[in-house]
Amino acid sequence: MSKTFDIETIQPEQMKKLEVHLCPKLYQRQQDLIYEGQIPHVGFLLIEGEIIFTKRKKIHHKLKPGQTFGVNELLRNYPLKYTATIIAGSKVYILDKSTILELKEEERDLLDSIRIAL
Amino acid sequence: MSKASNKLECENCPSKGQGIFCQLEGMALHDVSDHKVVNSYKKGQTLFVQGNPPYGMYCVSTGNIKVTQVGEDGKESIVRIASAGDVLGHRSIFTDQFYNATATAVEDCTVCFLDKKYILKLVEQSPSVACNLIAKLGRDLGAAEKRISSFYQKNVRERLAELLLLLKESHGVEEDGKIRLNIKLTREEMASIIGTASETLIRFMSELKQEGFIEQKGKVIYILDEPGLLDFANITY
Repeated sequence: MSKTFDIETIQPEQMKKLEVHLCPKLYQRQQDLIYEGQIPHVGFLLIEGEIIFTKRKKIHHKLKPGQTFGVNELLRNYPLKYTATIIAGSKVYILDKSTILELKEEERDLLDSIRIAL
Repeated sequence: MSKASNKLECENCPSKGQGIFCQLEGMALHDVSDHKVVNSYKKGQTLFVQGNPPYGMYCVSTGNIKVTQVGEDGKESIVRIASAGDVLGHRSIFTDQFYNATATAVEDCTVCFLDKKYILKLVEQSPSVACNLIAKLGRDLGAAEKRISSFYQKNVRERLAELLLLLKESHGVEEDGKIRLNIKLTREEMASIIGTASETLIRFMSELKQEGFIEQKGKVIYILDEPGLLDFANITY
């Protein structure tokens, strides 16, 4: 399966650093996080569970724990080409714009290491 | 990746003057425009789902959004309709609880989003935003109290007339000497708002039409006799 958007995999040591700044959020119910053609409100780093990307109801890609999406699109104001659906019971770290800008100041290396283009 | 979207600036928002940020000026308003994410939602798409974690606040630029709650019996009821200038998800920001309702577009909408940290910073820095948010929470509480008392004190017929008058306040547009309700709700949605069955709603809508209080063309409702409807709703203001 090819992907045409940015998915990054976070290494365990980077995850530890991120944990200082973020707290995990549990999705109790399945939800469409972002619809095809929308700009993500925040970036997501999946800790547990699954996020599924679909286009015209066909599954295109599945995000696995440790992977992140939406940060580059959020910062560049780009729409996502897929609908992202989080499965009930999944846990994520939410990387909102304010947090990303804080990380840019405080944890430049961490941000660079997860290859967020600022 | 596709091309960056053209961003809707707060200065050019169709609902300018009605939102909680509208008293901000110059650089402060520009900063909000710069930070926010603007998206379009199609009819039926959800902004957030009951039981899931909040991470910011939504500000409606155009269109109508229904806010629904699902009870333990699985039955869905509409809590309120958010329209241009309204905000959504603001209570969850301060309470840090999960969303206690689901927000779904009832027609094509444009909605802006600001993250929680940014909102909290704005509240600290801008008294006008804090005051507008408090005023909004106060109005929400007032509307909720009114709705509870209405459920206990009024019958379905009165609640329907009251709903039409409320929709007239929020979505009424003068047209050829009558008032057009600029919102398309299904009968099920209207029945859900006043807490009745669709069949009962249809029966009372017919009654209101026969008595000449309202008129319906397709899905569009017109109010023809507001004083009559006020009397029907048992409202004495």
